[in-house]
Amino acid sequence: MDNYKDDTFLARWLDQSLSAAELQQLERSPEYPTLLRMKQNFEKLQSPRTADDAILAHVIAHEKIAPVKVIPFYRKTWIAAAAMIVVLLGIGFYLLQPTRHAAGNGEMYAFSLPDQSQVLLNAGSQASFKSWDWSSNREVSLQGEAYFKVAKGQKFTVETNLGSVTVLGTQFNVKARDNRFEVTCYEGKVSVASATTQQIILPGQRIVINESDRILATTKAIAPEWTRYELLFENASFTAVLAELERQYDVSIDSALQTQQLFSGSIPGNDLDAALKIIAVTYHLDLKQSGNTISLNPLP
Amino acid sequence: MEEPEKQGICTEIVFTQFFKKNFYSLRNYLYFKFGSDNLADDIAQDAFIKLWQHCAEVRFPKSFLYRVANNASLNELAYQKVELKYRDSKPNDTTDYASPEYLMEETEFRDKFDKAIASLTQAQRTALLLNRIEGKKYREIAEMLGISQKAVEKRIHGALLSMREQIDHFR
Repeated sequence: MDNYKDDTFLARWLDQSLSAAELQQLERSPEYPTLLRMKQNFEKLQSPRTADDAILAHVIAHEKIAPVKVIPFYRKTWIAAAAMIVVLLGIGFYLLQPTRHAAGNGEMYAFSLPDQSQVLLNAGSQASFKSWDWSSNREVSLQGEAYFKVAKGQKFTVETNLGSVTVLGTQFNVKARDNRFEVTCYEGKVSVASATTQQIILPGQRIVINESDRILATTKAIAPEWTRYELLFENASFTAVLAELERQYDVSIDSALQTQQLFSGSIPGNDLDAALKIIAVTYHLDLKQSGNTISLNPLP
Repeated sequence: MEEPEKQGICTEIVFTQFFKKNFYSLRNYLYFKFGSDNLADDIAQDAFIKLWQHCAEVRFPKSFLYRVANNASLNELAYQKVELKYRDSKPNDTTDYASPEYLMEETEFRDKFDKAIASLTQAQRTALLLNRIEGKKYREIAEMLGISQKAVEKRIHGALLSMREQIDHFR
């Protein structure tokens, strides 16, 4: 029935895209006269037309429907790509950021490190560490004072601006204030390094390093006194004592007293009145307090 | 397929141009499909109204138009096979010199030819007439119908084959 080469043959004939050989073959076939006549007849056909101006007018008379505005945030691929990079950089930057913890004046703040080592920050202190790199690099940088209970493991380092403390797994306190670098060991072995010295201290020992000298002292405490709201001073300067009180009680203390007399002793860390009285009596000062502002001036 | 600027289609001038260029293609496509003037006019008009109303959202007006029309066509299940009226009304230019026998023969052929077209399947007729009457290229037809160019060629081949058989059969 169908003796054409393929099932698009006649379509290609209409389209005049048959090869010369194919065309010759078709022209010799018995069907060709009818096909040709059909083709000629198509040419007499005319596209039906209707009055389009009326329809156009009718169409345009319709109100446009305001689109629901979906404004694509990123209209172009490259903007999307750029945004993606920014986001990824942001996430990366965020993840690489050291984790930071801080205790404001008048408060303490406890946190855990990724290996469950514990840190208790004393008032007015802050610590930061890189959590993403913790397993290979146990390093905390500290400003102020903190008590560490370190889980056993690799080398653990506390960096301060006055020196560093390296341990293997122990409990110790680090205090780096002004020019005074003070490390107390409660358990294990602690290696303390500053710009001028290096020393290993054992449980119950405390090392105090300041500009001029280095004092090795002992303690019977099993944890820093400040964690029990007791402020212990040993040969501390008057200004250091006032600064510690300011941090612990979040107050501001003025004093006109100039003295080289060092202070040793214990002051309550949770009873401001008692604490101030001790200082006032020791240094013979007149105590005046209004709100958070305290003045301690020499008695007339 | 050249497309007007996205916002452009909303302006009356651009829309008018687009309408003039595409109305008959669409309308006659529908006419070839259904064989009904009214239905073709209605569906074509509705498609253009939809385009005008949604001009701001439409990115490819022509595709949109045919999609809307095709969807509307699906709903028109009640179409019946109607003989197409596509003859032009101008006088046959062979009249002057042709013999009466020739004219009779010619009229007879034309009748058979018309019947053959009417008996084509909807798919064959649409493709064939879009090509022969609207002068659409196979590629364009494929775009309108949403099928491949090869499929269009098959339909047209099939249409010619079927017509030729009918015409010669009733000779």
